Amino acid sequence: MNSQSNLIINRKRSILLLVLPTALALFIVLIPILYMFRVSLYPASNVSAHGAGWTLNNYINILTDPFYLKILGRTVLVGLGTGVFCTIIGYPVALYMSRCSARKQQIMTLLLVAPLYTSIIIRCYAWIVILGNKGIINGFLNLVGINSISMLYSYFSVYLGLVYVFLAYMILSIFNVLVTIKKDVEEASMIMGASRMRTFIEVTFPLSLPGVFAGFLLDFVLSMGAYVVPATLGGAKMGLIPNYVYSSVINTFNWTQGSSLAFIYIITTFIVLILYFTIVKRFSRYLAGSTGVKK
Amino acid sequence: MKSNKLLAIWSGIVLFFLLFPFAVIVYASFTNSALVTIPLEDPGINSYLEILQSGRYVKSLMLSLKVAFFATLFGVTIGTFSSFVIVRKGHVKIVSLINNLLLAPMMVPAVIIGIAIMISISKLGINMSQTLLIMVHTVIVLPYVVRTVCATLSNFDVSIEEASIVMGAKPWHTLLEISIPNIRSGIITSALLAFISSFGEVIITAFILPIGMTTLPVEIMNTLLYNFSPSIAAIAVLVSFGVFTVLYILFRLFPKAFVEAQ
Repeated sequence: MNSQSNLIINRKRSILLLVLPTALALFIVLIPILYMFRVSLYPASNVSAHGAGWTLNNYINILTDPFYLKILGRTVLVGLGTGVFCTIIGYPVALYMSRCSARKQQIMTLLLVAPLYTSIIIRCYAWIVILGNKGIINGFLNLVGINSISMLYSYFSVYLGLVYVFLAYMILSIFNVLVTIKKDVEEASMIMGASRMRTFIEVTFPLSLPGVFAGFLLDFVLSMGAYVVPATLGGAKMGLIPNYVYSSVINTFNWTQGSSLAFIYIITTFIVLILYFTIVKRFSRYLAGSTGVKK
Repeated sequence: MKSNKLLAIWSGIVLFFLLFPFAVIVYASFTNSALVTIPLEDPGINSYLEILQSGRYVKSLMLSLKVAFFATLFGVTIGTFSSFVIVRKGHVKIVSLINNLLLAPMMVPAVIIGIAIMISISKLGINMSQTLLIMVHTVIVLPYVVRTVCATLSNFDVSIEEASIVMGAKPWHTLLEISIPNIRSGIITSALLAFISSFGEVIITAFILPIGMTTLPVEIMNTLLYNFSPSIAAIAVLVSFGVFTVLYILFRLFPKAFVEAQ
């Protein structure tokens, strides 16, 4: 796969260089998550964090409770919705970026990612100020004589916050694919008599789909796992699974329930990802067949 | 060409959408009342004065800076060396597995990682400490380092390493004195990105803070959710300004490494 010489990075030194980061990631991420899985299989207990032995009851209780099923459905739906909104809003921006000069592309990348590096809590705070009942938007509306609209703590504010936070990932992942599409292919299409629009629909867009799929996947997974946005912009009624993992473990000290919720979340993500990859694979094959464009 | 113009306008609107909230924070920081209204009821700079006089955020700022500094130091050191192995030996199964393990903190929700660490630590009966905080932040910044350095490293011309070896230099010497100086743009970029990521991390941190201590973003979150104070806008402005300055300098110095890192 890779023809770089390995004069320096031989087997012995590879092991030496990887030992520390691997150990850190194992002890700080993987093992705690495995322990959490173990906790999810303990019986619940009123006197300590968990009882002794093994049980599937925590999972059964959650999966038979309409309250949690609703939250699970909402989590998946909000993930999908954010992915769709980000695609629709982000694609034209990525397309525009791909047609800009290299310098302008760099500057746009800077502007897109700059907000990502400020703490998410600051960005959510800004949206509270903008959307609040006495906030910026309502202030403007009142100035022109329109009554205040309630915008915070709704699906609207949650989607807005999630799109705001994850849009840049979508734009960049589509852009990264668009810039690799050779100009010759588009020119060939136009020389053959296709209009600009038709060239886009039949050549450029299908070729850029891998970027759309990658961006969608990223936004979908990230927004399903979002905690701060639903907690600050969604309020108590709009929580997603991660918010309930939090409240189970921290507020009600119910470790077993929180841990099983976390694993239901992880398993759900896996199932949705597998479904997603299957659909994408079928779809790409169908597209490759119908346009004759080979990836 | 008309369609391009529409695309340009749309892109302008989207960029405005992404950046406008920061203008709002600046606006909100110049009021003395708890409410941000249009026009401002009581404009003034009390919130900035409050930060200066009360020293309210100083302690948490210091902890944030300290944690971010050490996490960056450790993260960049071990992340850079592992990037060499990941780029050169990526075809080996265990290496690509380790690469995925190092990138995992980006994909698993922070709440789940944070709670998993918290319940494990409390099971073990260990007290939360700054050392633990720094270790966890090291793992948090590793993905940024690995991604950035790997991107730079895959454009790196290995023939200079070969030349160095052929001339009789020891492999470790070559690595430290030839290879690493040649990818310094990637390393510096990764260091600054790692620093500001650690500095802004709020969720995992909130679960593992030592008793009586808090980092700046966690304090901002607590202020926002539990005991509101108008000074939050001023501190948010100062922090965002700092982050943007770092990003801008980085962008001016190494535009290529910066863009590749994203």
